[in-house]
Amino acid sequence: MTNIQYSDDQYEMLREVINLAMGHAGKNLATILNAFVDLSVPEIQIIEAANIAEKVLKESVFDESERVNLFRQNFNSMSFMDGEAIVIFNNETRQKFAQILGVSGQMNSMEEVDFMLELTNLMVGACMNSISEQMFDQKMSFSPPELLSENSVLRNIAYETFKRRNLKWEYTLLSKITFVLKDRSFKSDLLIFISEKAIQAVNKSLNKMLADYE
Amino acid sequence: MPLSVLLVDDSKFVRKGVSKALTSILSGQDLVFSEACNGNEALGLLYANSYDLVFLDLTMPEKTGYEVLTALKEKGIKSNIIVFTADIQPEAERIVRSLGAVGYMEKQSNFNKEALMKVLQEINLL
Amino acid sequence: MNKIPIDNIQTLHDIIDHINIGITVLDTHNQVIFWNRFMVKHSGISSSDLIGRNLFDVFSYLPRQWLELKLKSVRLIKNYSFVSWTQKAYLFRFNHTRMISGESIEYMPQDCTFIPVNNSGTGETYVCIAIHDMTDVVASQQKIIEINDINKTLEHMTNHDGLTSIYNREYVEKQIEYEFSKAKRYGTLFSLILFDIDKFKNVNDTFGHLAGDEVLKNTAATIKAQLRSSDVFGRYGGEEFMLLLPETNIENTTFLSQRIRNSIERMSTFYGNTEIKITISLGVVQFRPDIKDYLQILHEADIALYHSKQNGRNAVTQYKITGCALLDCSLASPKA
Repeated sequence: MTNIQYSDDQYEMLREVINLAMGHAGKNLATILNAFVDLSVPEIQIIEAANIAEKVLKESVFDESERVNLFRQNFNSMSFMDGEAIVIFNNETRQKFAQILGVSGQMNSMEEVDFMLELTNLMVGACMNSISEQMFDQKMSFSPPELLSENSVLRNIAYETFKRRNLKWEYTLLSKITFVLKDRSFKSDLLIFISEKAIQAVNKSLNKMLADYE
Repeated sequence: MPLSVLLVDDSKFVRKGVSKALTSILSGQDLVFSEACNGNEALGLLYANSYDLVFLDLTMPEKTGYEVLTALKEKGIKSNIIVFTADIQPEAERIVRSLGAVGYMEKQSNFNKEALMKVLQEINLL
Repeated sequence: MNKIPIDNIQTLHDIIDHINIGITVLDTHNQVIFWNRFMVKHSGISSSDLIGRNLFDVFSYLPRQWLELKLKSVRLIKNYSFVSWTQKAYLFRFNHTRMISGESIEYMPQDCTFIPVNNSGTGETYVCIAIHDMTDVVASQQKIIEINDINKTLEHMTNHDGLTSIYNREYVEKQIEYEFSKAKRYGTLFSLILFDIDKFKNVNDTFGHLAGDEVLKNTAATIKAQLRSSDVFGRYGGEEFMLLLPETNIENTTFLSQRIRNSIERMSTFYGNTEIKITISLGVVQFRPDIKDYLQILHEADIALYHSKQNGRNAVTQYKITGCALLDCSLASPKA
């Protein structure tokens, strides 16, 4: 069991690391969507497994009752930096993909899911590689992104996904990044769950970075 | 006259990094630093005082850097504002320049001194 | 073991050419610069006829808009990208190799991996498309899905779990939702017990799945015999069960929980001549007006159950806002 809590300085340093990572992901997203992405301050906290569902519901850009699509992807690097990312898109965004991309006609359901898998891969890849490069000076490996759930009410799927017994750990370092297009046609939450053992590795790296600032 | 500099960023480490870099680049100059950690604080200071140089972050709590620039533009307040941000979309630079920023610098994992020198040269401070 | 020296490009080239995975490499203009034997064999187009030509000119059936977007993002983020047959059955129209029992499969199902390849000479990013033949996986999955579909339909029609004959998850959830709205509106009371079989995987691994099924059936029957007619008892998932107790306070619920726990501990399941013993861990929670909906009350029961597991299993835990309370294993009598 990890009883680590980060200090205010560590959180502040980490927020800046994730801020930079978010910038990279935002740039890639903007390029693919050919639009301007609004970035907001990332939310970061070490949190107990039993409280994740509530935390996700509270911090999400989406309303609890909204119908959403969830995707997941694993990441790991040799420096014990491993974990899982979940990306959420609401149905409203999903229905606007064809319009956003300027493709003719409607996308079929398969194409929509595939596009969301692609965006998941893109956001998670850009973000996690940036974090890993800043903190551990190396790239990460990723599993293929997977569809976790389609067209589910956020509240239901949050409680289902973060069932206590499904989680084989006590704590996680949770970061939430929201990407929104300026015209609000696109909204997405990226949730990064950094594993319990990686909390320790991040802790060490943060201390090193803090020492550099002294 | 010392050069007055306002550093606006929600991270004190970024503020520290910029002030350190400026001090070493403009070593001949007398520098006076003020700091703000969100958009509202920054606006308060910018309404009350004038600064020779302002470093402005974009993603911040309370008010974003975009909102700060927009508010200043609406009030007709001109300042030497250099945007220093992780928002590296090409469009971001275009927008902040159209809102009156005189310089734009991308945040990188290691502070890029050369980029800062280049921006300072552009606005004739170096 | 001797290491095989792979020191010349030709050896590597031969391996890639003969591997049972389709390899296609595209330059920045989507012109084919490499096309291995797998691709030749299945497409019928030789490498020399294809190299230097635009992929979309030759294979006009490819979903161009979609694929170009994919290639663009791989080049942009310089990261792997994947397409599973579950999302898109195939990329290339290849005949599959299955002669028997492959009748419902149109083209070879494919998993595709898109790999960015850096051309160190020009600094450009090429894309390698690796195609995996998934025909056998798809064929065997189809059979399982057919069987599951029939069972699902039956369950749905009857509200009952096919194996244990107690209620299924959907029905129990509906009943909890109903009790919940009743409690909110009329101030009635209800409690919930969530439990699962400890180390059930061991039962399956040691005695086999059929024995595991017997254990599930026996568990359901043993508990059902102890319930009132108003209690709603259902199978929630694999080895998880749920018990909804209308008009029941937490004291009576914990008493019942201990009785159930005890009865399962004493229960024997015979599979052939083998005696199988199991225990269960339980989480109990009572309705409170501050609970927002049935999802939250389930969540609390889940946390309590987890607490029982963490504290040695074969135990009952009551959820409390202030922290879960593990209950004494001795059978206390309920309050009058």
